[in-house]
Amino acid sequence: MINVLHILYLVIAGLLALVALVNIIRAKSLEKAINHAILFVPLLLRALLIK
Amino acid sequence: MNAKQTTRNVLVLLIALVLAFLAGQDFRDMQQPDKIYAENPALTRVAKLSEYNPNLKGTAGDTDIYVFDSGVPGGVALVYGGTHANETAAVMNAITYVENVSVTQGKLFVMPQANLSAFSATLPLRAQMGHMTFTLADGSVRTVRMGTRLANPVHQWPDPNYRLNSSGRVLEHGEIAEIRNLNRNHPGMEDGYLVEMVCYGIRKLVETENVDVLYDGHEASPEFRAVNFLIAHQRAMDLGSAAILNANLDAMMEGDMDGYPFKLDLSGATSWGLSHRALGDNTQAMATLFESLNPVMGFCHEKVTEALVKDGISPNYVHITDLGLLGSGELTDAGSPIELRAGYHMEMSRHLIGALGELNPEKTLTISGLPTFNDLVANGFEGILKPVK
Ligand SMILES: [Zn+2]
Repeated sequence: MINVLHILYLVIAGLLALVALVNIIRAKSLEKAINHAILFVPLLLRALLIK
Repeated sequence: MNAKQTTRNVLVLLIALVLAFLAGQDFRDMQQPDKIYAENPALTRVAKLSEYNPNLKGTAGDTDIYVFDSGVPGGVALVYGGTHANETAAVMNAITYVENVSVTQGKLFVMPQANLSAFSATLPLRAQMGHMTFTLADGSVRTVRMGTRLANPVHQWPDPNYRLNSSGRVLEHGEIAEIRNLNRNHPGMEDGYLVEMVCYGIRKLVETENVDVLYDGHEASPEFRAVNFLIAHQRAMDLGSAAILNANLDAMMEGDMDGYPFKLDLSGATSWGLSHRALGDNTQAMATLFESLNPVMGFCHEKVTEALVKDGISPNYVHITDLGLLGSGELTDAGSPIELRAGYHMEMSRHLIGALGELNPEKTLTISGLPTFNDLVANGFEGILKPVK
């Protein structure tokens, strides 16, 4: 049960990283792109079990 | 959206990926296992905690246990550090045992990195160090990992909003991260959160190997009321008193008439989940815990540098001491060096082991080979540690 939750959270982190990535590409301004990039880095590192 | 915007956004993405890669390198390095010297000829074998809880196999909680078995019946002790991976003196004490000890009667278990996962991360925004180094006589450098108080969230995540843990402690609100604190989740669960399973492994080790005395090494901030206290379960109070008495007699024999600043305290009845309470209540072992003084554990220390970690020199805390604001953990300009702190752990644990046989002759555990307190303080770890190939 606890393992399932752990994996589920990692999948969610991965999906959110993907959303942030799409948002970076579609950003209308530089500020927005950087905003999403700041979210993207930790989400990616968590989804990859690095941080 | 025009081509120019797309190019800009792709550039931002690339920069983010480069930053993620560079930061990721550091974090990944922290997940590599630490090198611990294991060529002590007295070492019987290196066991794994998963031998006592198979659910730990292949996980970040499967820490090494150094077994010194004399083959002669006698007492059994477990000496460990790294419950809190940033409380370095307790880790150095365990490493000193691993490198030097030999056992001629009874059996000794040493675990330098009890919460192994916690050695693979540092707390964010706390400017913590990741390691410290010692340059040995042969010019080689020993690096000793410093982690953090809690298991790495990469290994155990998410923290539940509510947990009634195996000790009866409720982890909620500000305490939810404590589910990753090894010293809040004893006696643990066979199949639970990673840290609970580590706790269960330690409990099973204590039960299966008939451990008589258990020593859990910690470090405390100057503000903490119990600096240099041995905290003992009620069944370990006689043992603790004898050990402190003997340690002081030893110091006096060596000319130090002040002896050691050791004090004894009874494990709190409501210290749920802490080793001295929960392992004392749930196993046959006499459970003890000792806290040495490390200014890095407090809130008023200077920038955490390798010098602060190793020398424990903190002008802020000297000032606070001079103002008379500390009930315990007073610091002078001499600081609280790692050799002194680890030396206290060594003397405390050594004398607990000695007192075991004194109080119960059939439980005699005879150890030798450890440096003396004066050796350690005079030569430093530079002169005590052995080169790792
Ligand atoms: Zn601690």
